[in-house]
Amino acid sequence: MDGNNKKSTAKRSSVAATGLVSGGAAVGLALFIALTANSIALWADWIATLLDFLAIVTAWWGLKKAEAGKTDFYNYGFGRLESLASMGMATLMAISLICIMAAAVMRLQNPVPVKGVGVLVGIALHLIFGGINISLVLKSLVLERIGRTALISAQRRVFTIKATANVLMFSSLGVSYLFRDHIWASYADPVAAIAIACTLLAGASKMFKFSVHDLLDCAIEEQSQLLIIRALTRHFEQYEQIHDIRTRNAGGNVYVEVFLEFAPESQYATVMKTIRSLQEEIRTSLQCGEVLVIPV
Amino acid sequence: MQFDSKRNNGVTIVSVKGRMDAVTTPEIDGKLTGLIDGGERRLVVDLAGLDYISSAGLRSLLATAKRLKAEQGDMVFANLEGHVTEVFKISGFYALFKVYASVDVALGQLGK
Repeated sequence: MDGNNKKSTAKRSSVAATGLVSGGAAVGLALFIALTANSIALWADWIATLLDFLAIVTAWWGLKKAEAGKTDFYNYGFGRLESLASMGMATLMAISLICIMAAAVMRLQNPVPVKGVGVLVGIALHLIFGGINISLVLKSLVLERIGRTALISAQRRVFTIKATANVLMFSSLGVSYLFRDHIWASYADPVAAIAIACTLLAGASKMFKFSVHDLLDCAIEEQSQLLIIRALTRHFEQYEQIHDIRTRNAGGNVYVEVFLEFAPESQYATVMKTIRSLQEEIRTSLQCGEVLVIPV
Repeated sequence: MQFDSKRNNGVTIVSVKGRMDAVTTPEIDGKLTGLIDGGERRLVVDLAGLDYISSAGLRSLLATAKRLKAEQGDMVFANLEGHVTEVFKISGFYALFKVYASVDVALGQLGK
């Protein structure tokens, strides 16, 4: 790991650790207010909070392994481990989504006003955690600009979902409390629960889409392969023969290896110039970080 | 996939029909190599009836062109259609190879 990578990993680890502390506290408090208020939305929120906390624990664990500095042991980094963790989280989200939807539909059929000390505590906590989560979303966006990985994107999605849930919960509990004497206010609670379920659905589907794709240990798509051929066509006069082209998608990254034969009489500097030019052209056209042109 | 070859005044006309993808390309590559090893140096590749060509197919054609170049040979293309024309444009083949509207035109040019 070079200096920049270490700095970036340390920053990510710091964000994950902050999320770990706030997430752990949020799980405990969400459980408390769910137990002390007659709200299906608060239970849905607790499930969502618990899932988010698990995602942060996974992210933190992955970053700790990366910080240990043994990434070179794995040919393609931790990318696939991150993708596998994302897929596991997406599965849990999908299961929770079904549970929340079922409970919310039952509550819509038999509306009950929310009450208890948990409602007021919930309003206050969602206001505070809403602020924290919005700041974490902003921090994650900055990290994504430094270096986008499946892990950091998953973290940003988790914080965004949490912040959205906080705003939703604050609004629904506020409406339920302020208009507690009106029957229509009883519907705000299950509606908020369904909204939380929808945010889980959006998060789960995105996680599934990206992580499943990243997990497939496959060659890059045909359109990108054509761009490699184009680079080889443009440098046609500068090499002797194409021996092999290997490409791979792993953990959201693209790796390209091109094995070329050069004329035996070619000067070393000329060969290196061709290699650098080819690598640069392929890297730019595919927007990927790992391109190797290997003389054989 | 269908592969045919015939000689015409010192030029070999190769006809490839169907698909030239990762499955069929090794067979085509083997046949093209066989022609070069057999002494053929000037090829007109007739692509009329070629419905699809993948990057694997293009790579094989590039490698064939390299083999021919090493033997002071030449390879041109004729009768490109639809998808194949588009792929040739994207991959820069039009800039590297001569492409003719028909085999007769290609033969006329190679005969000059």
